[in-house]
Amino acid sequence: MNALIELSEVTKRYAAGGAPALERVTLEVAAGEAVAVMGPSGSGKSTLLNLVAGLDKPTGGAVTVAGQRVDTLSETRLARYRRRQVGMIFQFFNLLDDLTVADNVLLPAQLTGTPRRRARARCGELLGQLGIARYKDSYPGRLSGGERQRVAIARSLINDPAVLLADEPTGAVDTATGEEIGQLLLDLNAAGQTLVLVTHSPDLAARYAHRTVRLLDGRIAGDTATAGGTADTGRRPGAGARP
Amino acid sequence: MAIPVWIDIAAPAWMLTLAGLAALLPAVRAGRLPAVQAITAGQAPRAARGHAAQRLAGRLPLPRPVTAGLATPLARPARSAATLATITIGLTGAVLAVGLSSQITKIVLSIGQAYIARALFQRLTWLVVVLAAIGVFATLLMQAREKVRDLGIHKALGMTPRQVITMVSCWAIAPAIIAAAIALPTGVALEPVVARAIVSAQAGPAENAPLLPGPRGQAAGNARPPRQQPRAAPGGAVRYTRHGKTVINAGPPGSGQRPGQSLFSGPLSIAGQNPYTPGEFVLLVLAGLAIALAGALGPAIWAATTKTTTALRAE
Repeated sequence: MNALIELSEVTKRYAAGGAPALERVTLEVAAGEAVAVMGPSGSGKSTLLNLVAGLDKPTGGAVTVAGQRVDTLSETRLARYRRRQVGMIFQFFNLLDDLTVADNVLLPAQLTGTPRRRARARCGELLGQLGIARYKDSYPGRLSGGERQRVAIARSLINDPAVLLADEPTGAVDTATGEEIGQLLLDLNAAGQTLVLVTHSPDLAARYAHRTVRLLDGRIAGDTATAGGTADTGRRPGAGARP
Repeated sequence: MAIPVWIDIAAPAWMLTLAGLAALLPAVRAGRLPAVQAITAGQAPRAARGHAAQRLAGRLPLPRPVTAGLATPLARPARSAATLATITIGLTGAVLAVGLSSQITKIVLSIGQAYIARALFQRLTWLVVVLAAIGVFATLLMQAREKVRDLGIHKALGMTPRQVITMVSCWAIAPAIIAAAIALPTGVALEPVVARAIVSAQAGPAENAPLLPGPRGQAAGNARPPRQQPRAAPGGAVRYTRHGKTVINAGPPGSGQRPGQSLFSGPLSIAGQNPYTPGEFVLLVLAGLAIALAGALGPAIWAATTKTTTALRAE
Protein backbone atom coordinates (compact mmCIF):
# COMPACT_ATOMS: atom_id res chain seq x y z
CA MET A 1 0.00 0.00 0.00
CA ASN A 2 1.24 3.49 -0.89
CA ALA A 3 0.75 5.02 2.55
CA LEU A 4 0.17 8.75 2.79
CA ILE A 5 -0.21 8.60 6.57
CA GLU A 6 1.82 6.22 8.70
CA LEU A 7 1.62 5.83 12.46
CA SER A 8 4.20 3.47 13.84
CA GLU A 9 3.97 2.25 17.45
CA VAL A 10 2.56 5.61 18.50
CA THR A 11 1.99 6.21 22.19
CA LYS A 12 0.62 9.37 23.72
CA ARG A 13 0.43 10.11 27.43
CA TYR A 14 -0.87 13.46 28.66
CA ALA A 15 0.50 12.98 32.16
CA ALA A 16 3.74 11.26 33.07
CA GLY A 17 2.86 7.93 34.64
CA GLY A 18 -0.80 8.31 33.69
CA ALA A 19 -2.86 6.02 31.48
CA PRO A 20 -1.97 6.43 27.81
CA ALA A 21 -4.50 8.12 25.54
CA LEU A 22 -2.97 6.06 22.71
CA GLU A 23 -0.80 3.01 23.18
CA ARG A 24 1.43 1.49 20.50
CA VAL A 25 -0.92 2.35 17.67
CA THR A 26 0.22 1.37 14.19
CA LEU A 27 -1.89 2.50 11.26
CA GLU A 28 -1.50 3.29 7.58
CA VAL A 29 -3.80 5.33 5.37
CA ALA A 30 -3.31 5.24 1.62
CA ALA A 31 -3.56 8.28 -0.62
CA GLY A 32 -7.15 8.78 -1.74
CA GLU A 33 -8.54 6.58 1.00
CA ALA A 34 -11.39 7.53 3.34
CA VAL A 35 -10.90 6.15 6.83
CA ALA A 36 -13.33 6.52 9.69
CA VAL A 37 -11.99 6.37 13.23
CA MET A 38 -14.60 5.28 15.73
CA GLY A 39 -14.74 4.54 19.40
CA PRO A 40 -16.33 5.62 22.65
CA SER A 41 -15.46 8.88 24.37
CA GLY A 42 -11.92 8.82 25.73
CA SER A 43 -10.81 6.05 23.37
CA GLY A 44 -8.18 8.26 21.76
CA LYS A 45 -9.87 9.28 18.49
CA SER A 46 -9.25 12.99 18.75
CA THR A 47 -5.75 12.37 20.09
CA LEU A 48 -4.96 10.33 17.00
CA LEU A 49 -6.32 13.06 14.75
CA ASN A 50 -4.35 15.76 16.60
CA LEU A 51 -1.14 13.78 16.16
CA VAL A 52 -1.68 13.43 12.41
CA ALA A 53 -2.59 17.13 12.21
CA GLY A 54 0.60 18.11 14.00
CA LEU A 55 -1.37 19.79 16.77
CA ASP A 56 0.24 17.54 19.33
CA LYS A 57 3.33 15.35 19.57
CA PRO A 58 3.42 11.68 20.52
CA THR A 59 5.20 10.45 23.63
CA GLY A 60 6.65 7.60 21.59
CA GLY A 61 6.62 6.20 18.08
CA ALA A 62 6.63 7.95 14.72
CA VAL A 63 4.04 9.87 12.71
CA THR A 64 4.82 10.27 9.02
CA VAL A 65 2.63 12.17 6.57
CA ALA A 66 3.46 12.51 2.88
CA GLY A 67 6.95 11.22 3.59
CA GLN A 68 7.60 13.79 6.34
CA ARG A 69 8.23 12.87 9.98
CA VAL A 70 5.72 15.06 11.75
CA ASP A 71 6.61 14.16 15.33
CA THR A 72 10.14 15.57 15.08
CA LEU A 73 9.25 18.96 13.61
CA SER A 74 9.71 22.23 15.48
CA GLU A 75 6.64 24.34 16.27
CA THR A 76 7.36 26.61 13.31
CA ARG A 77 7.78 23.71 10.90
CA LEU A 78 4.67 22.08 12.32
CA ALA A 79 2.72 25.26 11.58
CA ARG A 80 4.01 25.23 8.00
CA TYR A 81 3.16 21.55 7.73
CA ARG A 82 -0.40 22.25 8.87
CA ARG A 83 -0.78 25.00 6.29
CA ARG A 84 0.41 22.94 3.37
CA GLN A 85 -0.47 19.35 4.06
CA VAL A 86 -3.49 19.35 6.34
CA GLY A 87 -7.04 20.61 6.06
CA MET A 88 -8.99 20.45 9.33
CA ILE A 89 -12.72 20.35 9.86
CA PHE A 90 -13.89 20.70 13.45
CA GLN A 91 -17.09 19.68 15.17
CA PHE A 92 -17.84 23.25 16.21
CA PHE A 93 -16.57 24.77 12.96
CA ASN A 94 -13.98 27.03 14.62
CA LEU A 95 -14.65 29.94 12.32
CA LEU A 96 -13.49 33.43 13.27
CA ASP A 97 -16.59 35.48 14.09
CA ASP A 98 -14.97 38.79 13.19
CA LEU A 99 -14.19 37.74 9.63
CA THR A 100 -16.55 37.35 6.72
CA VAL A 101 -17.09 33.96 5.14
CA ALA A 102 -14.67 34.82 2.33
CA ASP A 103 -12.02 36.08 4.76
CA ASN A 104 -12.36 32.94 6.88
CA VAL A 105 -11.82 30.79 3.81
CA LEU A 106 -8.89 32.93 2.67
CA LEU A 107 -7.11 32.83 6.02
CA PRO A 108 -4.93 29.71 5.45
CA ALA A 109 -3.97 31.01 2.01
CA GLN A 110 -2.96 34.35 3.53
CA LEU A 111 -0.84 32.60 6.12
CA THR A 112 0.84 30.62 3.36
CA GLY A 113 1.53 33.76 1.36
CA THR A 114 -0.49 32.72 -1.70
CA PRO A 115 -0.82 35.64 -4.13
CA ARG A 116 -4.01 37.52 -3.34
CA ARG A 117 -5.58 37.18 -6.79
CA ARG A 118 -4.98 33.45 -6.96
CA ALA A 119 -6.28 32.93 -3.42
CA ARG A 120 -9.45 34.91 -4.15
CA ALA A 121 -10.07 32.94 -7.33
CA ARG A 122 -9.71 29.65 -5.46
CA CYS A 123 -11.94 30.93 -2.66
CA GLY A 124 -14.67 31.92 -5.12
CA GLU A 125 -14.39 28.55 -6.80
CA LEU A 126 -14.77 26.64 -3.52
CA LEU A 127 -17.64 28.79 -2.24
CA GLY A 128 -19.43 28.20 -5.53
CA GLN A 129 -18.86 24.46 -5.45
CA LEU A 130 -20.08 24.23 -1.86
CA GLY A 131 -23.17 26.30 -2.59
CA ILE A 132 -22.38 29.20 -0.26
CA ALA A 133 -21.14 31.82 -2.71
CA ARG A 134 -24.00 34.14 -1.80
CA TYR A 135 -22.77 34.26 1.80
CA LYS A 136 -19.24 35.33 0.97
CA ASP A 137 -19.67 38.75 2.61
CA SER A 138 -21.76 37.45 5.53
CA TYR A 139 -20.42 36.77 9.00
CA PRO A 140 -20.47 33.24 10.45
CA GLY A 141 -22.82 34.29 13.25
CA ARG A 142 -25.60 34.74 10.71
CA LEU A 143 -25.24 31.29 9.13
CA SER A 144 -26.85 27.99 10.03
CA GLY A 145 -24.77 25.11 11.37
CA GLY A 146 -24.67 23.39 8.00
CA GLU A 147 -23.63 26.57 6.23
CA ARG A 148 -20.90 27.19 8.77
CA GLN A 149 -19.57 23.67 8.30
CA ARG A 150 -19.50 24.25 4.55
CA VAL A 151 -17.45 27.38 5.16
CA ALA A 152 -15.10 25.32 7.33
CA ILE A 153 -14.80 22.72 4.58
CA ALA A 154 -14.02 25.42 2.01
CA ARG A 155 -11.39 26.83 4.37
CA SER A 156 -9.83 23.40 4.82
CA LEU A 157 -9.48 23.00 1.05
CA ILE A 158 -8.12 26.44 0.12
CA ASN A 159 -4.49 25.29 0.17
CA ASP A 160 -5.22 21.97 -1.57
CA PRO A 161 -4.07 19.85 1.38
CA ALA A 162 -2.80 16.31 1.03
CA VAL A 163 -4.98 15.13 3.91
CA LEU A 164 -8.39 16.23 5.09
CA LEU A 165 -8.99 15.57 8.79
CA ALA A 166 -12.55 15.84 10.07
CA ASP A 167 -13.28 15.69 13.79
CA GLU A 168 -16.96 14.87 14.30
CA PRO A 169 -17.96 17.03 11.33
CA THR A 170 -21.67 16.26 11.75
CA GLY A 171 -21.67 16.36 15.54
CA ALA A 172 -23.07 19.87 15.84
CA VAL A 173 -25.66 19.81 13.07
CA ASP A 174 -29.08 18.23 12.65
CA THR A 175 -29.55 14.90 10.90
CA ALA A 176 -30.49 16.30 7.50
CA THR A 177 -27.56 18.71 7.51
CA GLY A 178 -25.33 15.87 8.69
CA GLU A 179 -26.37 13.93 5.60
CA GLU A 180 -25.41 16.87 3.41
CA ILE A 181 -22.04 17.27 5.10
CA GLY A 182 -21.40 13.52 4.80
CA GLN A 183 -22.26 13.67 1.12
CA LEU A 184 -19.88 16.58 0.62
CA LEU A 185 -17.06 14.64 2.25
CA LEU A 186 -17.91 11.66 0.10
CA ASP A 187 -17.73 13.82 -3.01
CA LEU A 188 -14.38 15.21 -1.94
CA ASN A 189 -13.02 11.73 -1.42
CA ALA A 190 -14.41 10.61 -4.76
CA ALA A 191 -12.42 13.45 -6.29
CA GLY A 192 -9.27 11.98 -4.79
CA GLN A 193 -9.04 13.74 -1.46
CA THR A 194 -7.59 11.57 1.32
CA LEU A 195 -9.93 11.72 4.29
CA VAL A 196 -9.63 10.72 7.93
CA LEU A 197 -12.92 11.09 9.72
CA VAL A 198 -13.47 10.83 13.45
CA THR A 199 -17.05 10.04 14.26
CA HIS A 200 -19.34 8.53 16.84
CA SER A 201 -21.80 7.60 14.10
CA PRO A 202 -21.53 4.03 12.76
CA ASP A 203 -23.89 5.07 9.99
CA LEU A 204 -21.63 7.91 8.84
CA ALA A 205 -18.63 5.61 8.96
CA ALA A 206 -20.36 2.85 7.04
CA ARG A 207 -21.64 5.14 4.32
CA TYR A 208 -18.76 7.50 3.80
CA ALA A 209 -15.55 5.61 4.54
CA HIS A 210 -13.60 2.79 2.90
CA ARG A 211 -12.32 1.56 6.23
CA THR A 212 -13.37 1.86 9.82
CA VAL A 213 -10.73 1.78 12.52
CA ARG A 214 -12.11 1.13 16.00
CA LEU A 215 -10.26 2.44 19.01
CA LEU A 216 -10.80 1.23 22.55
CA ASP A 217 -8.81 2.52 25.52
CA GLY A 218 -6.15 3.91 23.25
CA ARG A 219 -5.59 0.71 21.28
CA ILE A 220 -6.83 -0.38 17.88
CA ALA A 221 -9.63 -2.85 18.51
CA GLY A 222 -10.62 -3.37 14.88
CA ASP A 223 -9.82 -2.30 11.33
CA THR A 224 -12.48 -3.31 8.84
CA ALA A 225 -13.37 -2.45 5.27
CA THR A 226 -16.74 -0.75 4.75
CA ALA A 227 -18.85 -0.22 1.70
CA GLY A 228 -18.74 3.55 1.86
CA GLY A 229 -16.54 6.02 0.07
CA THR A 230 -17.36 4.74 -3.37
CA ALA A 231 -20.46 6.65 -4.32
CA ASP A 232 -20.17 9.00 -7.25
CA THR A 233 -22.69 11.79 -7.13
CA GLY A 234 -21.34 13.61 -10.12
CA ARG A 235 -20.64 16.75 -8.03
CA ARG A 236 -17.03 17.58 -7.27
CA PRO A 237 -16.62 20.23 -4.59
CA GLY A 238 -12.94 19.50 -4.26
CA ALA A 239 -12.27 18.84 -7.90
CA GLY A 240 -9.45 21.31 -7.75
CA ALA A 241 -7.94 19.54 -4.77
CA ARG A 242 -4.75 17.59 -5.01
CA PRO A 243 -5.53 13.99 -5.95
CA MET B 1 14.05 65.94 56.52
CA ALA B 2 11.51 63.66 58.15
CA ILE B 3 8.35 62.79 56.27
CA PRO B 4 5.29 64.14 58.06
CA VAL B 5 3.11 61.52 59.71
CA TRP B 6 0.03 62.55 57.78
CA ILE B 7 1.75 61.53 54.53
CA ASP B 8 2.32 58.04 55.93
CA ILE B 9 -1.42 57.80 56.43
CA ALA B 10 -2.62 59.71 53.41
CA ALA B 11 -0.47 57.90 50.83
CA PRO B 12 -1.76 54.37 51.48
CA ALA B 13 -5.29 55.74 51.94
CA TRP B 14 -5.06 57.44 48.56
CA MET B 15 -3.67 54.26 46.98
CA LEU B 16 -6.56 52.22 48.37
CA THR B 17 -9.05 54.80 47.17
CA LEU B 18 -7.56 54.77 43.69
CA ALA B 19 -7.56 50.97 43.55
CA GLY B 20 -11.15 50.90 44.75
CA LEU B 21 -12.23 53.45 42.16
CA ALA B 22 -10.41 51.52 39.41
CA ALA B 23 -12.16 48.31 40.43
CA LEU B 24 -15.56 49.95 40.76
CA LEU B 25 -16.44 50.13 37.07
CA PRO B 26 -15.77 46.47 36.21
CA ALA B 27 -17.36 45.44 39.50
CA VAL B 28 -20.55 47.33 38.74
CA ARG B 29 -20.55 45.91 35.21
CA ALA B 30 -20.12 42.37 36.51
CA GLY B 31 -22.88 42.89 39.04
CA ARG B 32 -25.32 44.07 36.40
CA LEU B 33 -24.44 41.38 33.84
CA PRO B 34 -27.50 39.20 33.18
CA ALA B 35 -26.94 35.57 34.17
CA VAL B 36 -27.78 34.26 30.71
CA GLN B 37 -25.21 36.55 29.15
CA ALA B 38 -22.58 35.46 31.64
CA ILE B 39 -23.28 31.77 31.04
CA THR B 40 -23.16 32.06 27.26
CA ALA B 41 -20.02 34.19 27.23
CA GLY B 42 -17.70 32.79 24.57
CA GLN B 43 -20.33 30.44 23.19
CA ALA B 44 -22.80 32.75 21.54
CA PRO B 45 -21.71 34.68 18.45
CA ARG B 46 -20.15 37.93 19.56
CA ALA B 47 -21.52 41.32 18.77
CA ALA B 48 -20.52 42.78 15.44
CA ARG B 49 -17.69 44.93 16.73
CA GLY B 50 -14.65 45.65 14.69
CA HIS B 51 -16.03 44.02 11.55
CA ALA B 52 -15.44 47.09 9.42
CA ALA B 53 -11.94 47.45 10.85
CA GLN B 54 -11.13 43.83 10.06
CA ARG B 55 -12.46 44.26 6.57
CA LEU B 56 -10.48 47.44 5.95
CA ALA B 57 -7.33 46.03 7.50
CA GLY B 58 -7.69 42.92 5.37
CA ARG B 59 -7.36 45.07 2.27
CA LEU B 60 -4.03 46.49 3.33
CA PRO B 61 -1.07 45.05 1.45
CA LEU B 62 0.38 43.70 4.69
CA PRO B 63 0.80 40.18 6.03
CA ARG B 64 -2.23 38.69 7.74
CA PRO B 65 -0.76 38.70 11.27
CA VAL B 66 -0.18 42.46 10.98
CA THR B 67 -3.61 43.32 9.59
CA ALA B 68 -5.36 41.10 12.14
CA GLY B 69 -3.30 42.65 14.94
CA LEU B 70 -4.01 46.22 13.87
CA ALA B 71 -7.76 45.66 13.55
CA THR B 72 -8.28 43.74 16.77
CA PRO B 73 -8.15 46.73 19.19
CA LEU B 74 -11.17 48.27 17.48
CA ALA B 75 -13.30 45.29 18.48
CA ARG B 76 -12.88 46.29 22.15
CA PRO B 77 -12.81 50.10 22.17
CA ALA B 78 -12.96 50.50 25.96
CA ARG B 79 -10.05 48.16 26.54
CA SER B 80 -8.07 49.76 23.75
CA ALA B 81 -8.76 53.14 25.31
CA ALA B 82 -7.25 51.83 28.55
CA THR B 83 -4.16 50.69 26.65
CA LEU B 84 -4.02 54.03 24.89
CA ALA B 85 -4.33 55.94 28.17
CA THR B 86 -1.60 53.83 29.78
CA ILE B 87 0.87 54.43 26.97
CA THR B 88 -0.09 58.11 26.74
CA ILE B 89 0.54 58.69 30.44
CA GLY B 90 3.85 56.85 30.30
CA LEU B 91 5.01 58.68 27.23
CA THR B 92 3.85 62.07 28.50
CA GLY B 93 5.92 61.42 31.61
CA ALA B 94 8.90 60.59 29.45
CA VAL B 95 8.45 63.73 27.33
CA LEU B 96 8.22 65.87 30.45
CA ALA B 97 11.25 64.29 32.01
CA VAL B 98 13.38 64.70 28.90
CA GLY B 99 12.43 68.36 28.62
CA LEU B 100 12.95 69.06 32.30
CA SER B 101 16.24 67.22 32.38
CA SER B 102 17.39 69.35 29.50
CA GLN B 103 16.33 72.55 31.29
CA ILE B 104 17.34 71.56 34.74
CA THR B 105 20.78 73.11 34.62
CA LYS B 106 19.12 76.44 34.02
CA ILE B 107 16.60 76.27 36.82
CA VAL B 108 18.67 75.02 39.72
CA LEU B 109 21.27 76.73 41.68
CA SER B 110 24.26 74.45 41.53
CA ILE B 111 25.79 71.69 39.50
CA GLY B 112 25.28 69.33 42.42
CA GLN B 113 21.59 70.13 42.53
CA ALA B 114 21.37 69.75 38.77
CA TYR B 115 22.94 66.32 39.01
CA ILE B 116 20.53 65.24 41.73
CA ALA B 117 17.53 66.65 39.92
CA ARG B 118 18.46 64.98 36.64
CA ALA B 119 18.96 61.68 38.38
CA LEU B 120 15.61 62.11 40.06
CA PHE B 121 13.88 62.85 36.76
CA GLN B 122 15.54 59.87 35.11
CA ARG B 123 14.40 57.54 37.83
CA LEU B 124 10.90 58.93 37.81
CA THR B 125 10.82 58.54 34.02
CA TRP B 126 11.82 54.92 34.27
CA LEU B 127 9.23 54.38 36.97
CA VAL B 128 6.45 55.86 34.85
CA VAL B 129 7.60 53.98 31.72
CA VAL B 130 7.82 50.65 33.54
CA LEU B 131 4.40 51.21 35.11
CA ALA B 132 2.98 52.00 31.67
CA ALA B 133 4.50 48.82 30.23
CA ILE B 134 3.00 46.82 33.11
CA GLY B 135 -0.37 48.41 32.37
CA VAL B 136 -0.11 47.42 28.71
CA PHE B 137 0.98 43.93 29.76
CA ALA B 138 -2.04 43.48 32.04
CA THR B 139 -4.51 44.72 29.44
CA LEU B 140 -3.10 42.66 26.59
CA LEU B 141 -2.77 39.53 28.69
CA MET B 142 -6.46 39.81 29.51
CA GLN B 143 -7.21 40.31 25.81
CA ALA B 144 -5.02 37.37 24.80
CA ARG B 145 -6.76 35.10 27.30
CA GLU B 146 -10.13 36.26 26.06
CA LYS B 147 -9.16 35.61 22.45
CA VAL B 148 -7.35 32.37 23.11
CA ARG B 149 -9.80 30.39 20.98
CA ASP B 150 -9.21 32.70 18.01
CA LEU B 151 -5.48 32.35 18.58
CA GLY B 152 -5.92 28.58 18.64
CA ILE B 153 -7.77 28.69 15.33
CA HIS B 154 -5.03 30.76 13.77
CA LYS B 155 -2.42 28.33 15.04
CA ALA B 156 -4.37 25.28 13.92
CA LEU B 157 -4.57 26.79 10.46
CA GLY B 158 -0.83 27.25 10.31
CA MET B 159 0.13 30.51 12.01
CA THR B 160 3.71 30.14 13.19
CA PRO B 161 4.80 31.19 16.71
CA ARG B 162 6.59 34.20 15.23
CA GLN B 163 3.44 35.25 13.39
CA VAL B 164 1.42 34.90 16.60
CA ILE B 165 3.90 37.15 18.41
CA THR B 166 3.67 39.68 15.59
CA MET B 167 -0.13 39.64 15.68
CA VAL B 168 -0.39 40.13 19.45
CA SER B 169 2.31 42.81 19.42
CA CYS B 170 0.33 44.66 16.77
CA TRP B 171 -2.59 44.85 19.20
CA ALA B 172 -0.55 47.53 20.97
CA ILE B 173 0.99 49.24 17.95
CA ALA B 174 -2.02 51.29 16.85
CA PRO B 175 -2.68 52.57 20.41
CA ALA B 176 1.04 53.37 20.70
CA ILE B 177 1.02 55.48 17.53
CA ILE B 178 -2.07 57.39 18.69
CA ALA B 179 -0.55 57.73 22.17
CA ALA B 180 2.59 59.26 20.65
CA ALA B 181 0.46 61.74 18.72
CA ILE B 182 -1.25 62.79 21.98
CA ALA B 183 1.64 62.52 24.42
CA LEU B 184 4.26 64.51 22.51
CA PRO B 185 2.33 67.80 22.27
CA THR B 186 0.88 67.26 25.74
CA GLY B 187 4.27 66.70 27.27
CA VAL B 188 5.77 69.66 25.44
CA ALA B 189 2.91 71.86 26.59
CA LEU B 190 3.16 70.70 30.19
CA GLU B 191 6.92 71.03 30.42
CA PRO B 192 7.05 74.83 31.00
CA VAL B 193 4.20 74.62 33.49
CA VAL B 194 5.98 71.96 35.51
CA ALA B 195 9.29 73.78 35.18
CA ARG B 196 7.73 76.93 36.58
CA ALA B 197 6.25 74.94 39.43
CA ILE B 198 9.67 73.49 40.22
CA VAL B 199 11.34 76.87 40.18
CA SER B 200 8.61 78.33 42.35
CA ALA B 201 8.94 75.52 44.83
CA GLN B 202 12.69 75.90 44.91
CA ALA B 203 12.95 79.63 45.28
CA GLY B 204 9.88 80.03 47.43
CA PRO B 205 6.50 80.84 46.00
CA ALA B 206 6.13 84.13 47.82
CA GLU B 207 9.34 85.47 46.43
CA ASN B 208 9.31 84.41 42.84
CA ALA B 209 5.81 83.67 41.75
CA PRO B 210 5.11 87.19 40.52
CA LEU B 211 8.30 87.29 38.48
CA LEU B 212 8.07 83.92 36.82
CA PRO B 213 7.02 83.94 33.23
CA GLY B 214 3.36 83.84 32.42
CA PRO B 215 1.77 81.48 29.95
CA ARG B 216 3.90 80.46 27.01
CA GLY B 217 4.39 83.23 24.56
CA GLN B 218 4.41 85.98 27.13
CA ALA B 219 7.83 87.38 26.85
CA ALA B 220 9.14 87.27 30.34
CA GLY B 221 12.38 88.50 28.89
CA ASN B 222 10.67 91.74 28.03
CA ALA B 223 10.67 92.53 31.69
CA ARG B 224 12.66 95.54 32.52
CA PRO B 225 16.27 95.02 33.43
CA PRO B 226 16.90 94.91 37.13
CA ARG B 227 17.77 98.12 38.76
CA GLN B 228 20.44 96.61 40.91
CA GLN B 229 23.58 94.96 39.77
CA PRO B 230 23.35 91.22 39.96
CA ARG B 231 25.71 89.33 42.16
CA ALA B 232 26.93 85.82 42.00
CA ALA B 233 25.03 83.16 43.83
CA PRO B 234 26.36 79.70 44.67
CA GLY B 235 26.75 77.39 41.72
CA GLY B 236 27.28 80.13 39.18
CA ALA B 237 23.70 81.38 39.35
CA VAL B 238 23.00 85.08 39.52
CA ARG B 239 21.06 86.59 42.37
CA TYR B 240 19.62 90.05 42.22
CA THR B 241 16.81 92.06 43.67
CA ARG B 242 13.96 93.49 41.76
CA HIS B 243 11.10 95.44 43.19
CA GLY B 244 12.41 94.48 46.57
CA LYS B 245 12.20 90.77 45.83
CA THR B 246 15.00 88.29 45.41
CA VAL B 247 15.33 86.73 42.00
CA ILE B 248 17.66 83.91 41.21
CA ASN B 249 18.78 83.67 37.64
CA ALA B 250 20.12 80.17 37.39
CA GLY B 251 21.63 80.62 33.99
CA PRO B 252 25.27 79.81 34.41
CA PRO B 253 27.83 82.30 33.23
CA GLY B 254 28.20 82.13 29.51
CA SER B 255 24.84 80.47 29.00
CA GLY B 256 23.52 83.45 27.12
CA GLN B 257 20.97 84.33 29.72
CA ARG B 258 20.85 87.90 30.72
CA PRO B 259 20.17 89.10 34.21
CA GLY B 260 16.48 89.68 34.53
CA GLN B 261 15.65 87.04 32.03
CA SER B 262 13.21 84.37 33.17
CA LEU B 263 14.52 81.63 35.35
CA PHE B 264 12.76 79.30 33.04
CA SER B 265 13.84 78.92 29.46
CA GLY B 266 11.21 76.57 28.13
CA PRO B 267 10.43 75.86 24.51
CA LEU B 268 9.34 78.89 22.57
CA SER B 269 10.38 81.09 25.47
CA ILE B 270 12.21 84.28 24.79
CA ALA B 271 15.53 82.53 24.96
CA GLY B 272 14.34 80.58 21.91
CA GLN B 273 15.75 77.42 23.39
CA ASN B 274 13.63 74.43 22.64
CA PRO B 275 14.63 71.78 25.18
CA TYR B 276 13.92 68.99 22.69
CA THR B 277 16.18 68.14 19.84
CA PRO B 278 14.71 66.45 16.74
CA GLY B 279 16.61 63.34 17.73
CA GLU B 280 14.90 63.34 21.11
CA PHE B 281 11.50 63.59 19.46
CA VAL B 282 12.31 60.55 17.35
CA LEU B 283 13.55 58.72 20.43
CA LEU B 284 10.38 59.64 22.33
CA VAL B 285 8.17 58.25 19.55
CA LEU B 286 10.27 55.10 19.64
CA ALA B 287 9.88 55.10 23.43
CA GLY B 288 6.10 54.95 22.97
CA LEU B 289 6.50 51.95 20.70
CA ALA B 290 8.95 50.43 23.16
CA ILE B 291 6.45 50.78 26.02
CA ALA B 292 3.80 49.10 23.87
CA LEU B 293 6.07 46.31 22.69
CA ALA B 294 7.57 45.70 26.13
CA GLY B 295 4.07 45.33 27.54
CA ALA B 296 2.91 43.20 24.62
CA LEU B 297 5.83 40.80 24.64
CA GLY B 298 4.68 38.74 27.61
CA PRO B 299 1.12 38.18 26.32
CA ALA B 300 2.50 37.53 22.83
CA ILE B 301 4.87 34.84 24.06
CA TRP B 302 2.11 33.35 26.18
CA ALA B 303 -0.13 33.22 23.09
CA ALA B 304 2.62 31.72 20.94
CA THR B 305 3.48 29.00 23.41
CA THR B 306 -0.04 28.03 24.45
CA LYS B 307 -0.81 24.56 23.12
CA THR B 308 -3.08 24.74 20.11
CA THR B 309 -5.30 21.91 21.32
CA THR B 310 -5.75 23.63 24.69
CA ALA B 311 -6.53 26.93 22.99
CA LEU B 312 -9.12 25.35 20.72
CA ARG B 313 -10.91 23.84 23.70
CA ALA B 314 -11.00 27.17 25.52
CA GLU B 315 -14.39 28.84 25.69
